[in-house]
Amino acid sequence: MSPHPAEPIVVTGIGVVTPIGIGKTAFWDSLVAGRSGIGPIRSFDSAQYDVHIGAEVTAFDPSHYLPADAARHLSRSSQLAVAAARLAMIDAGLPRATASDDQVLGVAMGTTMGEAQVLETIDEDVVSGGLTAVSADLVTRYPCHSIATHVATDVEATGPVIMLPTACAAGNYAIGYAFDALRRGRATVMLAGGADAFSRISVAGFARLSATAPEMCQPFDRGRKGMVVGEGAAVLVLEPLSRARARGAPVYVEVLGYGLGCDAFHMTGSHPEGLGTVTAMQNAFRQAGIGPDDVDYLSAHGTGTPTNDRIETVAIKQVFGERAYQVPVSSIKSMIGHAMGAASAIEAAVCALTVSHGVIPPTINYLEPDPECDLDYVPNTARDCRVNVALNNSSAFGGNNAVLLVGRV
Amino acid sequence: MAVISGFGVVSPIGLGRDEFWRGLKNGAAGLRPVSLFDTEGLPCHEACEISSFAPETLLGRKGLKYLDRSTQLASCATALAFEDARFTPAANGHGGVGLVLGTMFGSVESVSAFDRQILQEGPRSVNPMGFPRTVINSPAGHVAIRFGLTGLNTTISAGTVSSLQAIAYAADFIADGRADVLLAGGVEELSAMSYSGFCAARLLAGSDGNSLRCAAPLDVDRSGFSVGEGAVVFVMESPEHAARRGASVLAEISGFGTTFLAPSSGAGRQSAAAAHAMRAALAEASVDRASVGSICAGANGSRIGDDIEAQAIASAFGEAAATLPVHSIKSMVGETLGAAGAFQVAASLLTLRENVVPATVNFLEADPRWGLAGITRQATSTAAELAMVNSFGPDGINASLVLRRPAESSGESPRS
Repeated sequence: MSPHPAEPIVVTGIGVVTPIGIGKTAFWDSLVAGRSGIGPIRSFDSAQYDVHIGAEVTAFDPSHYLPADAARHLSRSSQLAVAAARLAMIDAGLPRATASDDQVLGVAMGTTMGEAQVLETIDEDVVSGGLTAVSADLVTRYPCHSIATHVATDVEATGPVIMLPTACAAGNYAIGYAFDALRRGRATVMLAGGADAFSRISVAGFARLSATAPEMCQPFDRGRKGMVVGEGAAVLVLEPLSRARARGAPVYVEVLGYGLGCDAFHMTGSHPEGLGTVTAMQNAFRQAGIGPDDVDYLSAHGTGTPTNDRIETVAIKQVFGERAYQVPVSSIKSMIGHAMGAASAIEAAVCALTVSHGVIPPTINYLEPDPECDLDYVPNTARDCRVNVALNNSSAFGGNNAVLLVGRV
Repeated sequence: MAVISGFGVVSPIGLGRDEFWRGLKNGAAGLRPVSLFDTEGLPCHEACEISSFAPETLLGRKGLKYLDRSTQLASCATALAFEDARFTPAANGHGGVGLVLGTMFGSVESVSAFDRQILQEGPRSVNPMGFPRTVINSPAGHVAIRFGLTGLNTTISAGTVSSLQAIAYAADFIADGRADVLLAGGVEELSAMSYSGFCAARLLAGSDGNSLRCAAPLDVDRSGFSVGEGAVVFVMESPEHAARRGASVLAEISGFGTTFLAPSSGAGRQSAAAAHAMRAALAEASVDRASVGSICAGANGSRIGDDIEAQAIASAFGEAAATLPVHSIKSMVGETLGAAGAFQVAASLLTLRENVVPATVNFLEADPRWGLAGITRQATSTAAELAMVNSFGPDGINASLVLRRPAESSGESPRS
């Protein structure tokens, strides 16, 4: 394999599609204001379900962001992803289809459920008409890599294109993949992120696992009752620093490294000591060549379930030691719910924005401290704080954990 | 650099390395009537199904009923891989042995079953135990639990290129020194959903009423592909780690190239993008195209896809293309989608080890426009040290991998 240069890989563009804002500015303003995007489920009639709230991107009109044919033909996860990619390209000042001779543009995306809404339509067809009713078009669109290829087609990518369906840690996996592809010289620009559409499968499943909150998401609060199923997309533009400088692009942060680790314990339950999260944080620090003392902000996975938040706190303490009590930790899932495969990509965008704005978004709905969750969770109000290094935690079904480190350039 | 020191395979033509190779060498047919679901009303009724799959022989009965088909296939391939490589996972400096698994549809039957229960009996009726199986990384997560794989755990989806991407991903982690040992491969289950979709798209051999009802990859009269299923998992490690534990190295991963071109770009440009992936893999391996001894093609018998690949080979290999042995195993094992690249890598490293390029079963005559005279009609001997594996998806993702026979194994007598 070819050696790779040690040149910094930086983030030069951010595109987000979330329940509290589409585009980085609207999103960031909502985050700092502590606005919630959680409301009654609108995608389908929830009467028969045990949960009635969700974090849907209700303001999303595909025709505002996508070409007419794509807005019509793409399914929702791909629509969200393509919109985020376009916003990221604009933010990075990358004109579409630059196709300058030496530009190799690639795409790495993550997801949990892929095009779940497509499968739901196929299932409705099969229930009513049997296998002969299955649509060729829908089966072509269902496999999750179609999210990545739809983005790649839209931006006219020619480099590596890949989907990392590593559930709710997928965004960090995808950004890590992009980081590696750039370091290895397999691409000169990468779009990386995650996307998931709201789905009845997720709502029914999390409700049956008794993992959902009835009214609001309260990460790390003593009275937290669970997560809120959401949706969204985020895409970051990554490129080597020299290329960003050469074209005068804005630079948010450098990607310092990432780490992966697996609980190998239970499909849905966390390892009691947070083994996979600990491994992932340690691997990230090793690759970045820094340690816990360098971290100024930790974006928590913080789903709001009793177990996740407790175990994540244990894992942070194990890796950070006494330093854990000095690092602000917040969960934006209190505001945007759990966007599944998009979650850690959105949170990576938050980490980058935190460095550039010097403000840490709060954990809202925080009412009462939990003795088992005794870190500084930036309760309810955004905080001014110079952030040089931010750590982005993510965990997933399957025991998949991915941790991303970004830092000021 | 990373090496492969063993693998496990669960295929329509046999279980384990020896059976699989015997099948490939003898031109075994994996195509048989579908038994997993009712094909009544569909235009096709056959697939390369693993009809005698008995996971309990490798996994025991405990907990088996909670594992869906993809997970059982991947778990069996993993058990066989550890046995083949004479390796058992233990903690190492990176948090343990990891797993990188490619799949296209994942455990789609589990997802659909869960969803249809919501539709037919209501959302409050679904079994919460079924929900974790609806995520696409479920097979990899389950394999990690069963075998204690606490290192990185990554699922990759890139259509039919999934498992080739997975193998390259693992090779990169090892080359970077971020892992000593990783498992990598692919899994795909035969699913009613994908099968009926392919039928509806008239992509399967014979689905358009053509008399040729079996896949004939690269043949001028090909009429479509056969759907296959299975799993292949490799034990990959750094050369140093392999040497330290005295492992027998089967092949080295020498180079990888991957490109994309929007599928609406036209066959000519698609072909150029595929050729570019092959050139990139050769460049990364620092080898001349003339030293490649065989290509295990991604060709599966589809009219458009095979043509794009054949033209790409002709373009990437120039004069050498005329006589280069090119073969496809997909008339034997079927189009195994997310597992396809891993099946091809398994075939190619056996080619390097056994000095035989398998026949392309059902292939009779090439399209004369391609100028490829080396497409194998029967098993052909080779002494080359390099083999290429191609995976070019209809959705625009292309990948090529170059494998090299390890220097130290040249004097070793082949197994089986």
